[in-house]
Amino acid sequence: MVSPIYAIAIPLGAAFLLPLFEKAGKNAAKALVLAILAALTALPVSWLVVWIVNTPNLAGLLRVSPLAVDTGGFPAPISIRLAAGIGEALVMALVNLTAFLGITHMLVRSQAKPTGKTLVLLLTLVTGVNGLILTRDLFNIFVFLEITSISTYALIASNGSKRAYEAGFKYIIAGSIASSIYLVGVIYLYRLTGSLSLDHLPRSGGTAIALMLLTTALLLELKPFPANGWSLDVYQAADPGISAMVSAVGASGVLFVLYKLTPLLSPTHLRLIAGSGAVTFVFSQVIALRQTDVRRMLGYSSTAQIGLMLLVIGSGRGTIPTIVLLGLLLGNHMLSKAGLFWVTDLIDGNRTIASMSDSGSLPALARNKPLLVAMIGILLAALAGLPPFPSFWAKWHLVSALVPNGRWLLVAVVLGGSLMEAGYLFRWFTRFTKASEDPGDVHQERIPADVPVTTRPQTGTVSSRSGKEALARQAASTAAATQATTQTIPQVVRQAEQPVEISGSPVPTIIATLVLVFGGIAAAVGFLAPNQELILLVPLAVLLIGALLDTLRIPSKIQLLLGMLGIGVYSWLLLPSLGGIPLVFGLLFLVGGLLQMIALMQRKGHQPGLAVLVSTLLFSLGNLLFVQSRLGFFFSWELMSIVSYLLIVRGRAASGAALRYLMFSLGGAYSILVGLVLLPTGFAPHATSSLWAGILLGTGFLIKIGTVGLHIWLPGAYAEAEDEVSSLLSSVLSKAGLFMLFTTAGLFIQPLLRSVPGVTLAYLLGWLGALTALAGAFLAVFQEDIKYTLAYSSMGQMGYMLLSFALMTQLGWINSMYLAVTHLLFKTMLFVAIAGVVHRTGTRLMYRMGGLISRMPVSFFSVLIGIIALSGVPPLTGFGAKWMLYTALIEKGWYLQAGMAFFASAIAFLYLFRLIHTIFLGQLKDEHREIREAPLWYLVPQLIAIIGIMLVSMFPNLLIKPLEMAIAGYFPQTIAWQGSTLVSTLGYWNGNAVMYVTMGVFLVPLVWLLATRRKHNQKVRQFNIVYSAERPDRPQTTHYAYNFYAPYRSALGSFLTPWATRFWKRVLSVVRVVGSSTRRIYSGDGQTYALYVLLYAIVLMLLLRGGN
Amino acid sequence: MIQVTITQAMTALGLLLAIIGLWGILTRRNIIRIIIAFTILDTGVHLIMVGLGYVTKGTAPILDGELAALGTLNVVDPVPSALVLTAIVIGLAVTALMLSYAIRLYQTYHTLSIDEIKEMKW
Repeated sequence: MVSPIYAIAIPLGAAFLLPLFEKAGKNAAKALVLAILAALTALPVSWLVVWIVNTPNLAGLLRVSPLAVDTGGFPAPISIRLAAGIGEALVMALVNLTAFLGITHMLVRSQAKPTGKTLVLLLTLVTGVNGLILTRDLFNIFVFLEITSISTYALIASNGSKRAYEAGFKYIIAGSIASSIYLVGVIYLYRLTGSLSLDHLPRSGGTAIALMLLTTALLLELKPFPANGWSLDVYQAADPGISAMVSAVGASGVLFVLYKLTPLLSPTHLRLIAGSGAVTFVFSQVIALRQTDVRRMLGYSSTAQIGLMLLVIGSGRGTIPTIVLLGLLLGNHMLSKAGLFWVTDLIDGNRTIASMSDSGSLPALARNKPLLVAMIGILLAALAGLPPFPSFWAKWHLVSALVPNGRWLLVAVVLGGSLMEAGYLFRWFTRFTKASEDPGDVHQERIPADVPVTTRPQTGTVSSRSGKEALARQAASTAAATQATTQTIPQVVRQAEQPVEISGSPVPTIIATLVLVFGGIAAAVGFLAPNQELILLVPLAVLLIGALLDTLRIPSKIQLLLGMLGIGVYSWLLLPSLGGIPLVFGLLFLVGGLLQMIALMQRKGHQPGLAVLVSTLLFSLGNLLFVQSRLGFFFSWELMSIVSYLLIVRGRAASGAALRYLMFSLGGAYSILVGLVLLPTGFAPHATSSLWAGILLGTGFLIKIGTVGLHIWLPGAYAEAEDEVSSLLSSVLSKAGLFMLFTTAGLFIQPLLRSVPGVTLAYLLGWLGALTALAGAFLAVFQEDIKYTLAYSSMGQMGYMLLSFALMTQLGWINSMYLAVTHLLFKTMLFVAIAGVVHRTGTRLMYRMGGLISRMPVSFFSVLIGIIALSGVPPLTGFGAKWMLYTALIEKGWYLQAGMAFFASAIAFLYLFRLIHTIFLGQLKDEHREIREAPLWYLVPQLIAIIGIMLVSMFPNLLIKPLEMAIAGYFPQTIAWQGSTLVSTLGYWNGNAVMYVTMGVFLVPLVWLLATRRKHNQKVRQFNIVYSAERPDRPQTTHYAYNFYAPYRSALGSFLTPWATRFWKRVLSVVRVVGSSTRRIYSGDGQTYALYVLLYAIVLMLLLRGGN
Repeated sequence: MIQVTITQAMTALGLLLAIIGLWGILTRRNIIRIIIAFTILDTGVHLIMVGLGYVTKGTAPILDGELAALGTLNVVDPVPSALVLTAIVIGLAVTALMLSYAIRLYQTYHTLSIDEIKEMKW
């Protein structure tokens, strides 16, 4: 194997010789630099390959004896030893690869190409970092530290900007104080031990202060909060290429030195390192939330990530070796952060585009360079620790190491900080993805003023015109206004599209992204293989194949057909191996998902990402059905969350809602993560365990369900997603949380307090379910926007399912799943029918519709069946559900909950009536006179669902008997069958009889009316109604359907206060205030920063004394 | 009477210089003065280093007759001296770089007062 000395000698020699090569030609020098960095990357890789070939497993690999070189021909304590073990090789490979890509990036970009001097400095920087990684001598570390620092100081100034000089000077002051501290530490250590060699220093005794000085100095180089003001200025002001090098390359060397020092350190030292890391992590994330400059935001993210790695170093001793954890985090951070800095360089044509507040040019970028934006998404996802990227696995293992040791504060810091990081990173991402007319903060329905103020008629002329004429004119003006809005959108686009140019070649960034993706997949294989769960990677494979098809611009129809075929085959193979509850939900997820995909077939042309995301979502739902290990489950769950986020963000004004969805999903996922780690026996169905595991897992699942209080994400996400996608989310995805509740039901049945055996988590879930049903129904009543109505309606329905589940009786569970299946069917009908209506009318506001029964009869029929099935009136499925629900509630003795559920059902009638009345009955609007029935692809799934509902309504045993079998054995039998009649302790239900009786009750009066009253009937025409001589300037205010239930609203008064929304807004504003006030410490004054550096050092020394 | 060894005296002096240097870095407003304060800090640190290696009545660590006569225990430790030499060189490089920064800052901001050079914050 090649000696590690070359890793220092070659770049250092080349740095000195580079001016000579420049004489031979600029390109010769550039080629030399790149060749050297390629060789430096290949060198550690060659070591790794040899080691991996020669050792069979990971444990052996970690024990491999390092490659050591004693310089000068003397053995170690006298000479300086360079040693490369597995950790060194790994970090060196990453560092040199990143440096190679970074320099390539700077060479191929179109402006500010590095000069020969810059190249020399870059080479010395790389020399310094390689030296830091390899050397085993403390003083030699100082030398390399200074080589690294001095080249960095000089590099910062290389772009010649005013701000760079300022930042560089602040950096020098802080850095020189840190190196003085290091020197004093080294000399004291030498005085006390007589050695400077890491391999020969004694492991104990009297050296605590000297070691603390060294540690403090290294920590200071790693930009700890609050002594890191200078570093943020550097990230903000320096050339992004240099910032990437500072963040990724420079910091990695110092971090590795600290890691090398850990065998010498006492637990107190380690605690201080971990503590400082934790403080840095959390405060950097909080402050990053408030940043408007993207590079400064990335800078805060960098300091935070390094803080996280310090936390890992300080609190190691995990389930996997610290170096693996560190390697995952470090590699992930280096490549993603460097990649993002390069991206800001690429898109920063006019020096403003990288600003967070720049709203115009980023979406244009997304349209022109979709691949670039996809790449940004990948880099951000990696940085935020989403699956399958390396930091995702690191996060899992970090938390599973912290939780058993009871280090709750650190757990809270890691997860809370990660959540904030995902928040601000994806807030930036939504700036790219949102459409230019999307205000970005849509979470509630918005009712526009539908007549522009300029077209308001003159009051004097009103009386002179007839109502008919006025109305026609008004219709014309509305049509003109609609046309105008459709015309202005392309204009906005055209304006924004001008400045979109990327300056340079994205190839280095693409390579970094690909390395991250493949690293992530390799990590996934590595971590899932021990449990034989590689099959969980199927969704990822689907994602990759789909991304490939998208790149080739295959039309969406073909992609969808392929996806449906894939899911069909998958179901065919998977479902027969399942049984019981997983089989029920398997059918729900996969077959239900197929039903949803039919509606998507309506899309024309190439819809980037649509088919692939839907397919991936369904496959990752499929994962949940059979996953056994905790890690595998968490992986699938997070994958599902991120894919559904990407689906939602496709909506036209959905960016704000999607971000909110992501935040709640990730929060839930982190809650689940801790809960899973708390499960002692691993993730297995019906494991019984501690209360906290139940609470945390339950919270995570309830977020997905959208129970009241945790439902904030729900209305926006369901309503603002694309219309067919809303149907998928509401009818299929929402059941994932319910399925997991069923799977982990054992956690919820222990009493909370020993003295009150009746009060279990399930009991609380029951109340939550009832409250959710009530809140969903109430909220749905007062919406003007039809999709918000349906979204809240879904929330209410999930409440019934939760209530039934929480009963923990046979009938309760049957009813919960019965509701889940029928909800899939009727919500598909409603959402897809409404998608058709919205598609045809171009509006979602109910008062702008009306009378559509004559134009869209099939949709009308579908909605009619849907609301009957939902409302619980005979004869359709809802009646059975209600019958079972009340029976089960009364059997259990939950009378109050039964009352609430009953009340909620009554409220539901209000919005359901409005749905059919406002949209399909009443007067047809002028502009809707010519519209046609919904497209065929929309009608097919509705018809299938109608057939399903009708079958289940006529023959309830078709569904209930299999459900009864699915949960056989869990509960004592409380129901019996007599033919197709379901008998409970309280009564019986015969679906057939109910159907016939209801049909009779409906048909007999109808026939009688038609026969006897025919000649008295008169069709009410539009102009039978006049405006009482008034001419409204906001027509909706006089429309009967506008604010339909205003009296109820005033009657309810303060009951309608959005408590939950207020609560979460308050939480957000508290975080913001903390961020705003904390960042005041960064006053911008170099001397203040120097003072922080000094105070930081003093506080650490004092804490060391206190800790001993 | 308290016996003060050369090592102790030099450490004390070095610490004093270092503190003066730090005080200068934190309180002077003029960049040039801050740089001078830095060199004082640096010198203090170097003095501490050299002092720690000093052996009273010892000889220079050169392999000659005197060394053979006195024995290795009475030789001044060469390692701190070697370290100090390296540290001085590095300190010089940093000082030079700071001074060139000072020139650049003066050219762009037209001031040497660090108070007026805080464009970036928060």
